[in-house]
Amino acid sequence: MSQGSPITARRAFVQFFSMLCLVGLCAGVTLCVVKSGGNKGYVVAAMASEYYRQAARLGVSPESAAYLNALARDTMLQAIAHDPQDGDNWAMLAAILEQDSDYRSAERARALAANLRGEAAAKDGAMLQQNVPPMDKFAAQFLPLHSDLPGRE
Amino acid sequence: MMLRPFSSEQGNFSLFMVLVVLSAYLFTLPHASFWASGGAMMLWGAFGFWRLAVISFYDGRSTKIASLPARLMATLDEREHKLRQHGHSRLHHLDIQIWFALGCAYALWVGINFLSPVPVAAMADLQLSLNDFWQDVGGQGPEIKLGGNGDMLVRQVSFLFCLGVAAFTVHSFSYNENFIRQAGLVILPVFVICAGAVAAGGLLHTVPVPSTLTWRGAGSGAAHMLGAMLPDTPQNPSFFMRRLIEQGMIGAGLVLLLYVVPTAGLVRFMVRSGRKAVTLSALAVLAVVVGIDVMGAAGGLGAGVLFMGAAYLALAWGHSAYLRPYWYTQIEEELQGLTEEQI
Repeated sequence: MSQGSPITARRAFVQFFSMLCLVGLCAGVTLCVVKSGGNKGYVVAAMASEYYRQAARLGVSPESAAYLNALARDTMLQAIAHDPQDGDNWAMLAAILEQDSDYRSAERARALAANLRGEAAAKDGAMLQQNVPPMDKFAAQFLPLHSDLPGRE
Repeated sequence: MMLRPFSSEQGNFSLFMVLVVLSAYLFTLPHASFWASGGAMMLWGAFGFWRLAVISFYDGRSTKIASLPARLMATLDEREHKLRQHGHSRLHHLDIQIWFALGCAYALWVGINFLSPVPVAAMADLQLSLNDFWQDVGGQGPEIKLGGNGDMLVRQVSFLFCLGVAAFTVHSFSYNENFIRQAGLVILPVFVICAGAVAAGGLLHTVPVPSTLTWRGAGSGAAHMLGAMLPDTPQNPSFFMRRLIEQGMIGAGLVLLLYVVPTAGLVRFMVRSGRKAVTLSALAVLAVVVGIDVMGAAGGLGAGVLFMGAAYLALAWGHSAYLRPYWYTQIEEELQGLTEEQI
């Protein structure tokens, strides 16, 4: 067996490790209590998705739809500011912008989303088909509504 | 009273094994929220603190004992106390201290790379496009940065913390060969089944190396994004490749040293003690852990397998300091005289 350290060093080390454990314990409690609902970007993006759904609902007056869509756009921009790496958020923003008749920006957002999700590389033939990510997390709630939109080709 | 069964060394170790399997399960859960990471941190923070308190603050007991049952209990207590003292002293051996310092250095390095990531060309181009778009659509918005992903950092630090506390505190149990046998009966079968599932589930890649190697890394979360953007990077990179991208070659080298220290201890143990069962099982676990680290898809089941493997490996490595088999019977012999005197 190797030689142990002096008693004072041992005590200091024990105290350091105890403090480390306590900090970890507090961090764990904080994570459970504060962030258990998911990361902020995901939560804000879900809110934007909900605004978009409300705006796309049939029977909503044009003024309300425009207001809800503007709200969805701003909320989704916040979500992207928090987590810009999520290609799904950019795809959702493209859909919101398209509904807002901003087709040019929608096209750019869609291109960025494709870039972030590796779909641009797939189009170039550099990536195998199975490597393309599956349907985004909003697709399930978004696509049926989107296809029902009046005037949508 | 509820904690009484866990107050003995055997109780402590049983709790440890339960926590290892539970944490391994928590790390396999999907990362939609932080409760699994937070829960694991809570468990290991509490256990680490408690274990250290049990083995290091045990000296203040009263020796004035009146009744016979109390004297008998005191004898048992003395044996536990001696065992705990040995468990405690193992934590202060040089190899363990070096390993602990390396672990802390690696955690620090993860933080440094997150705060000051090395620029990656593909990400820099994309960042320009994103910011152009933001200015057009969002107006005076914040500048988008693609450096690191804070959520990913929190998850990685949580995993490192739990792994570090588990692998460190388990050395305090390593004096007893029975504990290694028990870990072999409880943790190893789960480990083997899960490792088999990783291999059978097609979660193993060929040995990957990023196209560009840098000393510093691109920060936590970069590997996932580059995996999505670049055709030559796997969609779900292995732990090793993720480390090379996110923490650079220095980070990968530090983890390599974390493997080397226990391997050296185990090999030395096998050569000098001639007890092969413990060493060979630990080296087999080490081979599987390294294989999954290098080739297994990061996260999910792979993380659980790494956690269980590291716990068993640390236990066997801790035992490598005790060259004589059943050395702890010596404590019993030492206590014989004390017992007769007391009673």
